[in-house]
Formats: sequence, structure tokens, C-alpha cells
Amino acid sequence: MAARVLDCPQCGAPVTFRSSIAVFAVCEHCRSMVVLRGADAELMGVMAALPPDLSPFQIGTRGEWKGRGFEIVGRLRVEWEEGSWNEWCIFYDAKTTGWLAEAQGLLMISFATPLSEQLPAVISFYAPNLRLQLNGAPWTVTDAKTVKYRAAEGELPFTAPPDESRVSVDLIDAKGGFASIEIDGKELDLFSGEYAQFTALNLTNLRKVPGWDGEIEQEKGKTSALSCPSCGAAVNLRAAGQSMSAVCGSCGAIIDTATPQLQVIQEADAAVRKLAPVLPIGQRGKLLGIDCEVIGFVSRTEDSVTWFEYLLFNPWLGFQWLVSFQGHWTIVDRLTSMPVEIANKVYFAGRTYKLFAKGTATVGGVLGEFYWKVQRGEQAEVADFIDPPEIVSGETYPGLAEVTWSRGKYITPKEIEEAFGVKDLAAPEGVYLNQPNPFAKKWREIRWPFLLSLPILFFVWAFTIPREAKLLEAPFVFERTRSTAQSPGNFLAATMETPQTLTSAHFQLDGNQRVEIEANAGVDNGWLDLDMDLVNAKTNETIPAPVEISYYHGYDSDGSWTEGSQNASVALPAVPAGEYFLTVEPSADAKINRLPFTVRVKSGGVFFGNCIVVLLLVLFYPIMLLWRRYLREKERWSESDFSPYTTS
Amino acid sequence: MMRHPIYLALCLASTVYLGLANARGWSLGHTIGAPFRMISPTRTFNHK
Repeated sequence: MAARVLDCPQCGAPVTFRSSIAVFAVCEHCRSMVVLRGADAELMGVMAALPPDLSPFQIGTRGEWKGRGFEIVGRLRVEWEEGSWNEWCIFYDAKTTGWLAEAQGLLMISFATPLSEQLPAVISFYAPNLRLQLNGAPWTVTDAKTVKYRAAEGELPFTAPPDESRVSVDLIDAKGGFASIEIDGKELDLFSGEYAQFTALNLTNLRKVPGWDGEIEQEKGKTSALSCPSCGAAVNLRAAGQSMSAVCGSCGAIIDTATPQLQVIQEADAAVRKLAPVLPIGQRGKLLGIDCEVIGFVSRTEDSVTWFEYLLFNPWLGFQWLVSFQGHWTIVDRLTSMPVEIANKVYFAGRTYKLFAKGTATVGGVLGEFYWKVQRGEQAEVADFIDPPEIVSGETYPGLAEVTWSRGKYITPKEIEEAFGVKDLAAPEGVYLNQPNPFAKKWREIRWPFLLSLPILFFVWAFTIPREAKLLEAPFVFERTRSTAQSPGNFLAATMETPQTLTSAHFQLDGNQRVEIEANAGVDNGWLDLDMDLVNAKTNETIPAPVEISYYHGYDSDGSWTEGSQNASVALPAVPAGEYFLTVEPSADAKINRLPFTVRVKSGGVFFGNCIVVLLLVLFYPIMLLWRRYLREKERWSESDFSPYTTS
Repeated sequence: MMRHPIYLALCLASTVYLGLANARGWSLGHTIGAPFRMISPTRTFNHK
């Protein structure tokens, strides 16, 4: 880059034009606006002083974007009625001009882009949430406002006279893209690019931030001081340049800090002294690995439910919110890409968030400073969508052409205590809308072992079933035999039934096996008891195997009925290998004198009781977790008007 | 770090038990009653 150095027409100091496309520069010495006309420098007036700020950028800061280097060569301070921000002019890849916008703690890099569509050059057309096609791609308007240049420094590719109004329309897409339509009269320019992460820009030659960089630690807590126009008390700005309003800690007046005039936005409110946030303004901490300072506190109310929001500031990484309600805490970041909202659901970054609450939130008490002009009584239409532990919230502000989306994540009071060095924070009450469900977490942890164990159990069960083998089929006949006995000296004789013992052939059983003995008899409205024993032919050890066959049938007022069966069986577990035979002692209904029956012996098969008990053991814990997860979710959603657990 | 080790051990033990019970013809009652059988007398068949 060949720099051109000209003399300032006002003071003669050198004015450097580093980039070849610069036409406008501000003299570092006298702040004269110098316009390049051919080879000459012309005086245009005197540029207003830039307000003090904590921006880590400065002219000369270098960085990388998409693999190519850039250098900051100029800065515009752009303001509108609700605030102001920095537009850093970058000389990108040593050949083109781009813009690094630094607003509300967010960074956006954009470049002038030709626009193929015809769009109206009127601000009223660009309502928030309006969907537009820009060069064939879908974009959504987030806000539209009238802006003007307040001050500038360095060099710029166009003249930037202060107080000249133009319209700026911001748009985002679903992929983290950022675009801005600039309307100046009837001219319409498109700048498109992306949101950028500070850490991804590989920045060097950054400005030391007072109060944050170790080398200038003595300025800690005294970033910028102003005098309250209402009571005269000193108000220290902790995020100067980014704060658009600040609350006087003495009288409670809300001061407009976006302009040097320091007007009172809202009169003093003595109730400010009663506000006692558990994290005081100015408290520094390291939350989730990020150094931050509490710079603002606001209470918001919706339908008599009040919650508290703490604004955290880090000069390099911007703003975050900490939301606190009944002992529950959520850390919230603004989203830089547009979630997709369809039918009470929001889709973002691969997650699905369900609508939980919708309503109007009203600002109550405020303390500290904010990146917009906060007011007590300020209202916002808020919609909360949840996928615990995350929450996505959309806010629209009546009368303000802006919609913002943010994403929060639940954090525990312990993390807050550790981060800010505070103690004894209130314990969480009830189930909060994005509080993680511990049973859902446990279920996720065991889900795969559980689902894997089911097919494994099935295969183990199926492949270990022993084959059934027929060992014996023996036909027997029950015959009632009676004998008459007469005792000595007694003339009366007694008729007694003689027990019948039947014995089967021997059979061989291999290995420890389940043995099933099945009996079949043609009993008809009667019963047959078979007192059987499986006898080891070698050891004479017996295993009892009694069965009863009973079968009854008939007719009653309800029709025909049957009870029992002509078959009965008994299964014997783990019968040792060996040679066996069966002994049978039959007894029968009194009306049966003779009845043939068959006994079959087979080995193999399984006891289904094992399978059932094992399944119960394996299923119990997951089912218990699912049930408790359901109860917890039901409790959570009982606070919602959009509960899937109630039928309307 | 292994989470829910007791449940995982239960799944493993259940699988092993089911395989052994099938292969060796155990019933649940037989398994639970094993300690009691060790102290009860064995019946023998009396050839008359």
C-alpha cells in the first residue's frame, strides 16, 4: 500500500492517506476534515471530537478475515436517536474497503455489494421481521433507523460531514450473515457480510483498554466519569462508548449517555435505593471462563411475575445477560443469526425450541448502565422458546423498529457463586422453564446401554435355548384295586384301597438340563392325581414331579363351560446327567376304576420366568427414569400456557 | 468416566444369568432356593 502524505490545509500537519481509495481524512492534529481533490487536499470543516470509549480497536489495528489481512484505517461514529456505534473502516486485502461495525458488543464485517433487486428507498417499507430477497437470498429486517455521522477519525472512502442524515436498515439471515441497506436520498447501497467473533479475527496492535489491560490497571473502575444532570452526583461509566444510558446511583435519574449533552431520559426515582441486586454494579468475575463486570441491573415484570437481569460487560467480547428468577440463573447471549420460527417452535443451530411463554415484559427498577436508552415502564413483547437447558427468546419493542433474538443457557447458583465470589445465593425454587431435567440427563446417559442390552439379551436368550429331546413316552393304566382285611378278634372286615406303583423304562439324560414331564389322560368330569418321582437309577435320588389332571365341563345359564384340561405337566430345573426312570403312584376320582394315561418325558426348553425377571430388572431403572422425567416435565409445563401435557 | 455403573453391571449380570439359566436349565426358584437345598436332606427311592 503506497501511502500519500499531504499537508493539512488548516494546520499544516501531515495528513496520511494510507489506502488508495481514501478520499476523506481527519487531521490527527487539529481534527480538520480534509477532502482529497485530485492531488490536492481541501479543507471541509472541523470534525467533532470522538466520545471516550473502551473500544479495543484503534487506527492501525490489524487482523484477518477469511484468510486475508486487513488494517483499520478510519472510524465513523454513527448515531441515531437511541444510541451510537463505531464503524471502523478497514482496508482489506490491500485492495478494497470494508467495514467493521462495533455495536452493542457485537462485531460485523461487511463490504459494499451490488444489489440485483429493486428496493424502495423509504424507511417505512422496512418493518422489523420483513423478509426480503437480496441477490436471491432470503434476509430478515431486524431494524431500520435514521442515522447521522457524529464524528470520524482516520481516513474514509467518502466524505462524512457530521449531522447529515441517512437511513440504515439492518438485516440478518439464518446462517450468521449480516447486511445493511444504506439509503441516502434516492441512492440505495447494500453492504453484506457476517457477524464476526473477536477471537477469530487474529487481531494485533489493539488498543489497551483502561481498567482491563494489566498495564493500565490503575484506571480500574474509572473508565469515564460524568456528572448527573439531575443531582450533580458523579456517575462512572463502566462501558463508555457502548453505554447509551446510565442510572445515577444517587438519585435514580436515567441519563442519556449517547450524546455529550447528558440529558435526563427519566426523572429521579428514590426507589432506586431500595434495589439490592445480589451481584452489585461493578462486581467483576470470571463466568464460564470469561472475565466480565456487572454494569447494569434491571427488574422486569410480566403478569405480576418479576425477574432480574444483570448486564455483564467485557470490552473485547461485548455484552452478556444473567437472568435470575427464584434462585435460577441463565446466561444469555444475543443471537447474530435468525432462528426459524414455525408453528410455536423455533429451529436454531440444529435444536428445536418449543414455545413456553409469550407476554409483555415491563421494566421496573434499573441500576447501572445499558447499551440502549432504558426506561422504567419500557415494554417489550417477549416470546420464550425452550429446549432445556437452553432457551431462545425473541423480543420486539412497541414503537421501536427492532427485533432481537437471544439464546440462554441454565447455570447453577454454585457457578455464579464461584464466578463472582458471592455466598449463600438463594436455592432454586420449583422447576424453571429451562432448568435441565436431571432424569432426562440420566436417561440420555443410559439410553444406549439400555437399548443395546435389549437385543443382546434377546440373542443370548435365543441362542442358549437347549434343544428339546424326547426321552420317554410311556403308557400306563390306572386300576383301582381293593383288598379286604380282618383284624384278629374282630368279626368286621375293612375294605382298603391298595396303592398302585408304576415304573417306567430307564432313559438317559445328558448334562444339567431342564426336564419336562407331561401327562395325558382322558378324564371326563373327574380328576387323576399322578404322584410321580424321577429316580436316578444309580444313586436312587428322587426328584418329585407330581401332576394333577382334572377336566370338567357342563352347561349353565350362561351356556357351556369347561374347566381344567386332559393334559398336565411339570418342569424340573437343572436335573443332573444320568440314567433315570419314573415311578408313578396314581389316584383318581372315586367313580374312576380304570383309566389309561400316558406320560412323556423330554429334556430342553426354558423357564420363561427367568426371561421375565431379567427383563423387569433391566427395564425397571429406565422406566423409572422416564416416568420421573415425565413428571418433572409436566411440572415445568404446568407454568406454561402452551403445555403439551394439557388438553384444551 | 463410566456413568451408572450399577445399572451397567445389572445389565451385564442379567445377560450372563439369562444365558446360564437357559443353558443349564435353571429356574428362578431353583436359583433362589439353591442355598436352602444345600441344607435339606436328599430323598431317595426305596425299592420294595
